[in-house]
Amino acid sequence: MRNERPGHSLQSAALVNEAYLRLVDYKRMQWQNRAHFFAVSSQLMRRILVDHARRRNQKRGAGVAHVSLDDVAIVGGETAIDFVALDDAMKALQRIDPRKVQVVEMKFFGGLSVAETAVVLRVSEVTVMRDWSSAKAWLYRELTGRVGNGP
Amino acid sequence: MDPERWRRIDDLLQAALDHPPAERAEFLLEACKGDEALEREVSSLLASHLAAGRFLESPAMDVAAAAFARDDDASEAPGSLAGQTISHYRIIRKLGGGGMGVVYKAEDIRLHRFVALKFLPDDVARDAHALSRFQREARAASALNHPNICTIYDVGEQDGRTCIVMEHLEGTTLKHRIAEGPIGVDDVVRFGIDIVDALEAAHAHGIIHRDITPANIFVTRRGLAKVLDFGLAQVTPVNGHHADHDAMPEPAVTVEARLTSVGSLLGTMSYMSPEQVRAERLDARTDLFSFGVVLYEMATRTLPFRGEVSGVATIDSILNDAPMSPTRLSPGLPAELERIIDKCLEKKRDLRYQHASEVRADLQRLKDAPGAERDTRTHGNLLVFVLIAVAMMAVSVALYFYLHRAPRLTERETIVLADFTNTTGDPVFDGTLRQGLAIELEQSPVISLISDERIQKLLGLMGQPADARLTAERARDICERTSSAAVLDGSIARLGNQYVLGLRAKNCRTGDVLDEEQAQAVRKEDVLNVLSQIASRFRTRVGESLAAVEEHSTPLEEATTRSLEALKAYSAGRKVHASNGPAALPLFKRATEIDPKFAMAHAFLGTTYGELGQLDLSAESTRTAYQLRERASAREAFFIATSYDLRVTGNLEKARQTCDEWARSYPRAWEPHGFLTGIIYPVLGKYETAIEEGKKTIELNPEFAIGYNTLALSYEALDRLQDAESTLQQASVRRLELPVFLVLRYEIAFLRGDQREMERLAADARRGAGAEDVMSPHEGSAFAYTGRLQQAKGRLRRAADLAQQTADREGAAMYETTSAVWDALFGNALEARRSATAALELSRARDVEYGVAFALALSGDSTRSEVLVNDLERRFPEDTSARFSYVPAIRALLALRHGDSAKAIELLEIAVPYELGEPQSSFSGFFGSLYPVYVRGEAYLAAHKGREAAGEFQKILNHRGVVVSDPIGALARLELGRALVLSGDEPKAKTAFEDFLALWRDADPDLPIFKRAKAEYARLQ
Repeated sequence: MRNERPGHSLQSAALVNEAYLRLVDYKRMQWQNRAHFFAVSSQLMRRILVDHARRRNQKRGAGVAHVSLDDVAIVGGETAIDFVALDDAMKALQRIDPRKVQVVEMKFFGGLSVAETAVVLRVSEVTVMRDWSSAKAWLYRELTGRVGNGP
Repeated sequence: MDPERWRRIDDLLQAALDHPPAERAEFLLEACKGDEALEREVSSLLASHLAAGRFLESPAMDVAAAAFARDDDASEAPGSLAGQTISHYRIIRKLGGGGMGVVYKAEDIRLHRFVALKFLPDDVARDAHALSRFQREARAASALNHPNICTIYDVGEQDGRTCIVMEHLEGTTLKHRIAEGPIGVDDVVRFGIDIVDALEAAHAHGIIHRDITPANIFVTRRGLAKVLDFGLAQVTPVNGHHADHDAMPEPAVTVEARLTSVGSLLGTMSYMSPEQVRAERLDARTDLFSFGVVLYEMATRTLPFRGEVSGVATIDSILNDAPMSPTRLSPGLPAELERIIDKCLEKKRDLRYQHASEVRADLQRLKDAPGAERDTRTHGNLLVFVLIAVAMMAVSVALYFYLHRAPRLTERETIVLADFTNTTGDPVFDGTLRQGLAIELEQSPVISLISDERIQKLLGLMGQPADARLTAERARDICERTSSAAVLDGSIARLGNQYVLGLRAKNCRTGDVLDEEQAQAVRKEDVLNVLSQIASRFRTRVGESLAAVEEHSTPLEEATTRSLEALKAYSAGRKVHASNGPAALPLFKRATEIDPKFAMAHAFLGTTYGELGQLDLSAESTRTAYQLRERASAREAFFIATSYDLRVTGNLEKARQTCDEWARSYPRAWEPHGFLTGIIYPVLGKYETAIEEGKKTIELNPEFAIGYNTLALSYEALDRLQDAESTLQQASVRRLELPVFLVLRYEIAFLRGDQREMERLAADARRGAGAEDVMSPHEGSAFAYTGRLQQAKGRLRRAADLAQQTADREGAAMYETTSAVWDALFGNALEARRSATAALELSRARDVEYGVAFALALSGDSTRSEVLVNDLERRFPEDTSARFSYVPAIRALLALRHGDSAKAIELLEIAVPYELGEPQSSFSGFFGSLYPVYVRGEAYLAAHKGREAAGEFQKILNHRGVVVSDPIGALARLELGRALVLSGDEPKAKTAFEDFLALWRDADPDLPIFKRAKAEYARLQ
């Protein structure tokens, strides 16, 4: 006699060790993977630039390592950024709000627009803009050493 | 600060920003409700927000480029070198500066001619390695002597300062020229020919420029275009062994090895070819791509690929986007020029011009006689997506190591990435798979790849050429030499018009395969999808927790549903279902609510309902899934179709076909074999084939515990008890134990007549094994077999109680039905009818109706029995058990009731093909096995055909492995006796009676059939 209940058909137990292929909608996948591509690339970009900045700082010696924003002249519309300091500040922000860091990565390091960032992070554009403004305020404060009232 | 507090601060900050500046202070005061610290915090951020201004508004790339350029300039005090002498060159004045270093006009004292001195950027000059390489290449490049190339004369050095001495040119860079104003088509073509001539000359010397941009092209006063800075490019071996294949990609980023500083590198991204962007090995065609960009820019004064903001979007654009048609931007352009540009800008190198001379020829033709057709463009979408999907896979490999890392390791685990085997003949896949994997793996904090340089060196040590293929064997060797953790290798091959992808991770110390994945894709485009499937299976297989996976990777969206939410619910449901079936119900329900067209969710909803005994809902969901099966994958569709055949129509012949096809299409799938061995073949009575399928199931899925049980059951059916036992033993060895194993062992003990063993196992079941509910009916059956009906029914009641506890109405109904059948068989008509009624009140399931109809027919209630059998026929027209076992048996009984034995026999003919099978009512040890045979025997008895009747009952006795402890096995002896009496064989008849009575020595004395048997036996004396 068989020991499967008519209700407990083979299927129920059969699927304990399942491994079904799940097909993917090609078009949606395209979109999803572009997002991933952008996310990864932005992170990569950050790493490259920060690593390079660190190396340059090492070569020049400690004196030039941490240029505060106050000291920097504005050349051709580009405010100079101390990438190393920025990276440290972003790591600190990561601890309390990772998504803001993502926004900064996408927009600043990745060069994506607000709309593109919204698509990649799957939030609304308004959210991106809010995150962006909060992140900027926080990071700027960190970098200029004008501390409010700490943790 | 913790995330919670930050959230509050952030919310307040944003709320404040929503107010006009004048009102913010007031708003804050109110909102903070006296929390001064909070107020100060938000205020300071508001101030910061104001002060930040343009902070971070320019993309990092631009900032960095400007910063690096500025650094280069800053390290040079303006004009500080003027008047100085370097070697035999006297510096006159500074000409310009940029990412490539500063350029001065100087005079060659010896030759009395003007030269240009270009000083290397600091970061390059300081790097000894880069410096020596530069010197070697400059020497090689100085061999280039061509009117369109800015000649390099020398490399000067003095006091630690290195410079390049080159031809001094009067004119302007192409960059300025373009900025100044539109360039006429004739000039565009002329410049183009000049540049391409230069490229041709350089390529002939094996020199690739790598940095063709308008900033590196000079237009002299006389309108001649000259390419600058050749010497700073890459030199490849001259013997034509150029990179047609990207066998060994350069590591993703080696900034220090480049001779251009990061600043200028960043600035020229818009001119980079796809292969440069991907840091693959370059060849001459790379320059042609960049040339195409320059041509485009000359013709239209815009960049083809997202020029303004350099950054990731530009990379994406280079890889994926088709540039806007040049003629759209500059309507006067000849179509032929557009065609040439397009061909230069092909993403795939093989589709570009293969040689500078080809471009020249076309440009020349255009110059002489403009006008041609357009080429069609292709897009290089596939490659990026392949990369990304492979990246997902890499993430999961990285995760594996992350989760399984040895505690002592604080450094990263290293992996050797072997070359992928591409036997498809399609170069699209060359290198891309490995490349993508490499890029992604390098992202991981816990994995690092053995660098290509190191691999080259080791290959050398192994006596192999540096560019030897990194086969799996060599990779393993390297893995061991570097004490790496694993070798990763993959393959892509063709199978008809399909592609088959594989990935394997092997621990090179032990040789253990850590994981292996294989999947098939139908079209090139689906390769992507399949790779992502591999990725997710990879993840599941190495046992990561769902949380970890979500944390570390972007979830894949899947198309058996359009909704990610539905998918999440479904996935969660599957996970839960694997360990605790019924608990998954709400999850599958939710999935179907979110996406009503989600076929697989419906299918599993059906499964789960079935497990809960809610057969109507189960059938309904399964039916829905079946209707939606087109939306599922081919493999899922098989599962859905099989579910439908099994749960809804009960058409097992059809299910068999579906499963056969399923197994053919997916040879590695174990499920079709599981269904074939577990349900289909047993019902059809094909035990030999069931055994074959059972072995296959276990082979394909050795961890599937139930597989061992069903295989053993098939052995039992053929009375191969030894084989049945050793199969269970196999499962034990793998530490796979299920409560139902106990039941099978009980049956085997029963068949061997080992009473003590039976008692021991029953006790085990009651005690610890948690198998009491499954064991009870079998115990009951064993009691009924020996006529101890009261005890038998006691066991059934126990089982029914347990079923009631789990609200399993259908289960409880089956126990009642069994009780009714036994009562009916033993002649307790009243009891039988009562139980039958009770059963019907609990459930109208197919098997319940069958048993009830059978019992009622046996105990004289033909009317009700007839109603039920009609209902069965109506509801289950295709059901194999119903058509070939239930309905014939019942109708035959009814015919017998009316005294028409001939009709009964006729009605039972349809049952012949499957009569030795185990109908589904007999699962779980209830009733039904060989009942048609029994009824036929009764019909022959009624027709006084002793010999034929004896034949039927003997059949029952000959198939103990199928009948096991069903009471008809015992009654068959009695009926055999009667048949033998009829056929005149008294001695044998007596033996048969004695057999029966011996078996029933402890039977309940008041059973009608027992009393009759004793009386008939007495008459034989």
